[in-house]
Amino acid sequence: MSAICSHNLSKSFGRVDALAELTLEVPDRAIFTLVGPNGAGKTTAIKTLMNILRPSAGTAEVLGKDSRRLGPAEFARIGYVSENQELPLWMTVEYFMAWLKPFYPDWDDAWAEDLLRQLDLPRTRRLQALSRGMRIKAALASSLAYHPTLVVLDEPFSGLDALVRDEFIAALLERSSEATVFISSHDLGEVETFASHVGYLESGRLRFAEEMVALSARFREVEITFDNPPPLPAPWPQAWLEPASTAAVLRFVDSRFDPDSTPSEIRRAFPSARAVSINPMPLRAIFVSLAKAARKAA
Amino acid sequence: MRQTLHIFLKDVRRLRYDMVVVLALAASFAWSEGHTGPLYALEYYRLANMAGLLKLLLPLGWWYLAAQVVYGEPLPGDCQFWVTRPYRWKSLLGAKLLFIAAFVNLPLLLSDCVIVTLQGFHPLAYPAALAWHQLAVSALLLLPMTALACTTKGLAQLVLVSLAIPISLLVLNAIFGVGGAIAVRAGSLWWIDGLLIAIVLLSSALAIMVVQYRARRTWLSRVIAGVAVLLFLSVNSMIPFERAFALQSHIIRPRLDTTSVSLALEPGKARPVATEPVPPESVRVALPIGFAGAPSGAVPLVDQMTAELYPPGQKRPETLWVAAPSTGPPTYSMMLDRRLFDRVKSTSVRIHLTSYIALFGDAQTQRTPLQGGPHRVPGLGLCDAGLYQGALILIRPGQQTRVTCLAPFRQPARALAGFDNSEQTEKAGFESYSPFPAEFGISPISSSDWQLTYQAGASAIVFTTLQPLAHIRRDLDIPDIRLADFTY
Repeated sequence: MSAICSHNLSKSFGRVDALAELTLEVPDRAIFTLVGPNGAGKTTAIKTLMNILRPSAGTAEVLGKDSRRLGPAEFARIGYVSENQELPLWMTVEYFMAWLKPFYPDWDDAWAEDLLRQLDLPRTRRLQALSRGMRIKAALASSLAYHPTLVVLDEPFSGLDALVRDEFIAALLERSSEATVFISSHDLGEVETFASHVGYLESGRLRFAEEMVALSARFREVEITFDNPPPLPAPWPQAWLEPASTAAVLRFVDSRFDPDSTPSEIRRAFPSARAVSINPMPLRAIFVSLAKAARKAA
Repeated sequence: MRQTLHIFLKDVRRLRYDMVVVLALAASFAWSEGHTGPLYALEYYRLANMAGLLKLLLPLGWWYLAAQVVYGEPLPGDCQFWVTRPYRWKSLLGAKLLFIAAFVNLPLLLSDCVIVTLQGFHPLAYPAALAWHQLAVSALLLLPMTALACTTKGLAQLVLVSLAIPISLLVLNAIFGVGGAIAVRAGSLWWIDGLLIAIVLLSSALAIMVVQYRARRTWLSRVIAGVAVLLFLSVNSMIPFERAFALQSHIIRPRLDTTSVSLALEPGKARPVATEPVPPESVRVALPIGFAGAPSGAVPLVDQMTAELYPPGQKRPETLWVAAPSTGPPTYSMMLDRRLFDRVKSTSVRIHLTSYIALFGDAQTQRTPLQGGPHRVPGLGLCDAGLYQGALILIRPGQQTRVTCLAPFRQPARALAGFDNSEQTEKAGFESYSPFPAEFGISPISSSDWQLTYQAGASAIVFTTLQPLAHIRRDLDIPDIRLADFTY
């Protein structure tokens, strides 16, 4: 069963298509990261899935329920934290937790205590007096204390310092075995370490969504050294992105790497190659390549 | 219910200081209004001024409190933390309404009881009026204010919208001349407009609150608010006078036989004395109209009279307003455009008069001494002329003085007053034929005033209260009349 499943989900603001035909499936217990540049439509996607915004077209199901009909019963199982959430700033951290407790039948006092301690939150201080990072931690603590089935985090790391970020991720990972986590982020480095699935959103469109392992496996940086550089093969294969050549070296990114067939394909295309080096790529480099390719295509 | 109470208690905690201020305002208002008397001594002036100021501040305080309690969980926008929490919309709306009931309605009820008690009346004698006052204040003030807060993000936006609405109404009035629609019908039938406005405000406020709390469709709510404003503007045209009068006639079933009542032209009647100058472009025509066949003990009062003048050779008649006399012989006058008058003055023309008449009866007359006031007058409340300070009379004969009666919740439809050695006069302002037990206002105390000229030797004030027994329409067709014979 999928925790989140959308079909052609779209959201327009006037003439601007903030989200266009998002078709997505987030498997149960996955840590799914929706990445993309600023303004790609990540927040709109999340708000539409959370029934904060009404979709202009398409459908979505969250925890098996039509997203437009999400109500108290579903929200008792969802933990949602957003960077731009307006919290009740007049409350102290302690009162904030106590205030929310009666809303959730599965509220776990001991776990709430642990979270406050683990995230080093000052109980008697008002939310208004907390830094931005501390407020996001308070929001996270209040969203995890009832063992949600689905945790949805919209850009939770923006502006957080390294220490707070690590505490945040640690608290999150501790729950990851019992919940599906759906995170949006434009910071690829943050999510690379713990995401199980990744989706790439650009200009409101989902370019791809797949398991991290599969994504890492299919992207390789290829470097070919020549004695005498030959002309580039025509037509240039679509899966080979960003070709760049210097005097004796040709580099490109292979987006459909297959350890059985790719080396021989390269040899066939460049029979005069002196050396071929095929290297795995970090997530950041993969997305930079994809973004550049998309921009070029556009 | 548990969630409702949980949210309610959170709001109480959040707004505890604000509540104390508004409750203090309500208590101060109750004290000052309760101690204000119908006399005009200095201490009453001070109290009346204080009560007057608090009458303005108190609704502002309610407005602030109602808005703030809504803003505890703001409705427009997409960044509120609570929208992804397991709130039930009915619990949330219930909590907000409970807060308003507890900290606005309940203090208002207590304040009504305190004021009425301090004024010397027993509040338990007016249960319907107490309830009606709550309903009227809620429908016309509290719920519209709350609904407006439901469509705005914060106090600043709320204040801007609250200012924008009357300003846009004024602009509309200036551009399209919809002033007649904006103004509530003055006169005895004003309560029909008031009721219609209350229904429009109450239903749109409830619709907005349900839409906002259930689905947070702010644009839809704003459209509802816009429609409510348009309906408010067109209240007057929705129910023209004749329809309002017909409704009034239907509500008060005639308690006497009115079939014999008729209008008649009585050319032999004395002409009125011209007291006001006539503009040069107009001509004033006085029509000596009399009533015949009024049942014994019934006093007719014309609420409105219109005339349709049919000039020779003109297909459409000219409609003219006919003014009823305030004093003197029952001669009804109308202003004609001088060009029209010059065209028809020497020929016979046809005039059709339509008169909307209230028949009053059940007269109750009571005398109260001038000294030792204020005095309790059944049906009118606590009355005084403030003429004496101990045994010392404060004014000279021929001078005018004001007589005031303070009554809980409402005044009788029609009341006259006069010194025992002079004629009685109608009270200032207008009669109200409202069938409701309370008038609309912040205070539960309603006052009637008369301007009387003191005559030497007067020892008492005579009050007469009358009840409307029937509302009838009568038409009179005058086939040929020479207007030049009736100018003055």
